[in-house]
Amino acid sequence: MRELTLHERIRNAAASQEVENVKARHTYLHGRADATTEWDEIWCMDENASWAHAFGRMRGGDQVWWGSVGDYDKMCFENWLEIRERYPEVTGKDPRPLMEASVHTLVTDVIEVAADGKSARGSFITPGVIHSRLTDDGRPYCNVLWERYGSDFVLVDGEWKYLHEHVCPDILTRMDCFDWAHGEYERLTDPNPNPPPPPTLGAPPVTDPGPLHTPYSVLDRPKNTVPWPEPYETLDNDNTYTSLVAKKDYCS
Amino acid sequence: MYTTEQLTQRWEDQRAIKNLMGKYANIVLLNREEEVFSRFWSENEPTLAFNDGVYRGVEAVKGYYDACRDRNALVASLMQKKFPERLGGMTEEELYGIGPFKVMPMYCPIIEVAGDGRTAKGLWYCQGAKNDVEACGPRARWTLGWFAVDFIRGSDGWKIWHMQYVNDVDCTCGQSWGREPVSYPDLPEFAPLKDFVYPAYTEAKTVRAYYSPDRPITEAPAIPEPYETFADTFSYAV
Amino acid sequence: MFKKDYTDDELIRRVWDIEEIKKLVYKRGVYIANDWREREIDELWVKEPEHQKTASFGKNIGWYVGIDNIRAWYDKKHGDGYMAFHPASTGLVELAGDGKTAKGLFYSIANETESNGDGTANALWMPEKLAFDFIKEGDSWKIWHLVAAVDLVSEAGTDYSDQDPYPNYETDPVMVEFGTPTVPQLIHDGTFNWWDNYPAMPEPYETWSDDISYGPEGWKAPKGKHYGAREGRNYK
Repeated sequence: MRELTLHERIRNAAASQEVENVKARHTYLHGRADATTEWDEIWCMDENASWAHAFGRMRGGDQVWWGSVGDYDKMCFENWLEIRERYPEVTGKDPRPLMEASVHTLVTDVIEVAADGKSARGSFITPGVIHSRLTDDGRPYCNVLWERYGSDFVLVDGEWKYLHEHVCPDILTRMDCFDWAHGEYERLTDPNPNPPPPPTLGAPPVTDPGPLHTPYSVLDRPKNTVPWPEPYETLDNDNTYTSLVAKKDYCS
Repeated sequence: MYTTEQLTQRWEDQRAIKNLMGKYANIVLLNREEEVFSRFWSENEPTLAFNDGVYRGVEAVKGYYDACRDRNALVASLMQKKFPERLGGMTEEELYGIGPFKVMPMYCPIIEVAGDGRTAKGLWYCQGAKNDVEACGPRARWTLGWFAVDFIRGSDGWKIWHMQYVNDVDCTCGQSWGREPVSYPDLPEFAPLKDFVYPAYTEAKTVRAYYSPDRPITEAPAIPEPYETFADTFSYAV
Repeated sequence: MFKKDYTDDELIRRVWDIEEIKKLVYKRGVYIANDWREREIDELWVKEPEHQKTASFGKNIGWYVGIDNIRAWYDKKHGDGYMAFHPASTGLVELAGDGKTAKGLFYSIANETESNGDGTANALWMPEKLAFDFIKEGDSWKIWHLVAAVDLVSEAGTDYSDQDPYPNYETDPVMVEFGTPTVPQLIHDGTFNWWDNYPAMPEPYETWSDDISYGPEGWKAPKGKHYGAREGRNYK
C-alpha cells in the first residue's frame, strides 16, 4: 500500500474517531428503538446499503428501511397495544422505547480507515443487555445478548455514514440466572428435550437468505463470520462486509 | 511538546495496539490459540502471567498456547464421542474448535506509548464470558479481570512483550460470586479433562488473589503513566 | 449540524484531546475498582474554584452540586470484601469547536460487590449510562458534570424478572447509597426504559452553554406532561 502524506494520516486518524462516534450513536439510538432517526441520519441508504443478521441480509436502502425501521416499529407498536391494557400510564408516550432498551455496547474494536480516506471498516465484540420493565406478562426482563459486529462506513458529503452492518449473535440468555452452556448440554442429552429457543428478530424480507451466522453452541465451532479488517487501499469487494452492487464515489 | 508528525505517529501506534489486542481476543474466541505466539508475541524474553503463576521465555509462553490447542482438540474429540450422531462423521480438522467459546471483550484501554516510541504499555478491563467444557461438561463462566500488557516494537510492528491476564472473578454464570459456588457432578464422558494439565509455570506464585467476601480491597494492575523510555517506568513482567 | 474546518495541526491535537478524555473516563473506572474515591475527586475532577462550584454528580434521583457536596457524599472508604467495576464502553465524545469543553456518553454494565459480614457478599449488576461534561484546566481535561443513570439493579445469580416492574428508588440499594442529593429530582425513571432520553447523546457544538449541561442547569423534562411513573394508573 502506498505511503500516506501527513495530511492524509491525520485525516484518517480523525476519521477513525468519527466512525467510533457513528457506531456509538447507533447503540444509543437503538437503545431507544429510534430506528427512524438511526436510518435517517447515520446511514448511507443507497443501493449498496446492507444490514445482515443470522436470518439473512437486507440489501439496498428500501429493503433495509422496510425491515429495520418498518418491521421494528411494528413490533414496538404491537407491544405498546398489549402493555397498555396492563399499564395505562404508557398512554401518550412514544411506543418505541417502551418495548425495551436493547443496548449493544462497543468494545474490542479493530478499526481501519482506507488509504484513500473514503471508507472505514471495523469489527467489534458487543456484550449487551436488553431490558424492559412494563411487559405484557407483568414481569420485567433483562437478557444478555453478546454479539460480534462487522461494519463498513463511508464518507458522504463530508460526513461519515454507515453503509454495511453484519450482526452476529453469539449468546442470548437471561441475565445471570442461567448457565447457558450447561443448559444447552442438558437439553441435548435429555431424552425428551424442550425445543431450542427461537431465533431473534423474526424474518424480514431479505435479498440474501440466511443463516449467515450461527450462535454459540456446544456442538459447533465459533464462526468467523465478520473477520477483523486489514489495512486496505479502497472499499472494494475484497475489503467489505457486503459485496458492492453499484459503483459510487466512496468505492472502486 | 510533540510535533504534528510525532502526534500523528503516536496516535497510529495507539490505534495499532488497540487493534492488536482486539485481534488477540478474536483469535482466542476462534480457538486458534496455536497462532497466538507467532502472530502477536515478541521473542524478546516474553512473560505471561495468570492469577497463580507465570511463564517466562519463548518456550514456556508458546508452550502454554500449544497446550490450549491440545486441550481444544481433546474437548472436540470427547464431544464427538458423546454425540456420534451429530459429530461422528467429522474429520479431526472439521471437529477442531467444537466446544469452547471464550469471549474476552477488551474494555477501557489506557495506553501509553513511550516517548522514544520503542515500547508501550496498556491496561484493559476484561468482562469475559468463558464457555468451555470441563469434567462436569459444558459450563459458562463470567470472568471479571484485567489485561496488563507491555508492548515492544519489532521489525513487523508492535508485539506483546509482557502480559498479565488476571481475574478477580471466575464464576459459573447464573451464580453469585459472593456466595458459595454450587458445583456440578463430574461426568464420566468428560473424565479425561480432569487429567489434562497445562504446562507447569516457570514460577508458581499468587499474582492476584481471586475475589472472596473477606478479600481486602485489591487494586488493579498499575495504570500506565507517560514515560520516555522503558527504563523510566515499571514493568508488567512478573 | 455544527461543522468546522481545522488545520492538520489543530485536527491532530483535537484527536488527542478526545483520546485524553476517553482515557480520563477509563482511569476513573480503575480508580473506582481501587476504591480511590478521594483520589478520584482530587485528581480527575475539576480543580478551579469556579468550576468546583458548579461541579455536579447525578444519579436517577437528582444531583449533588458543588465539589464539597459531592465529596461529602462520595468520599468514603469501603472495607474488606468490596469490589466494584464500572467499565465504560461505547464512548461518544463531542469536543467543542473551541476546544475548551467536551461532552461524552458511555455505557457500563457495572457491578459492585459488598461483604455481608457473614462469609457471603451481595454482588449486584447495575447497568448504567454515564454522561460527562469535561472542561480543560491548563493542559488537563477534568470531569465537571457526571450523571450515572442506572437502568436496573439485580443481584448476581438471581432472576431479575422476579422484581417488581416499578423501580423503588427509596429501597434501591444504589439510590439508598446515593442519599439525599443537593437537587432532589427524578431525572431518569427506569420504568419506561429509555423513553425519557436522559441523559441524551451529545451533539456537535461550538462553545459551552449551560443549556447543554448534564448538570441540573441543563435538564429538561421529557416532552408530555404525563411523566411520573404512576400517572394514569388509577384509570383502571
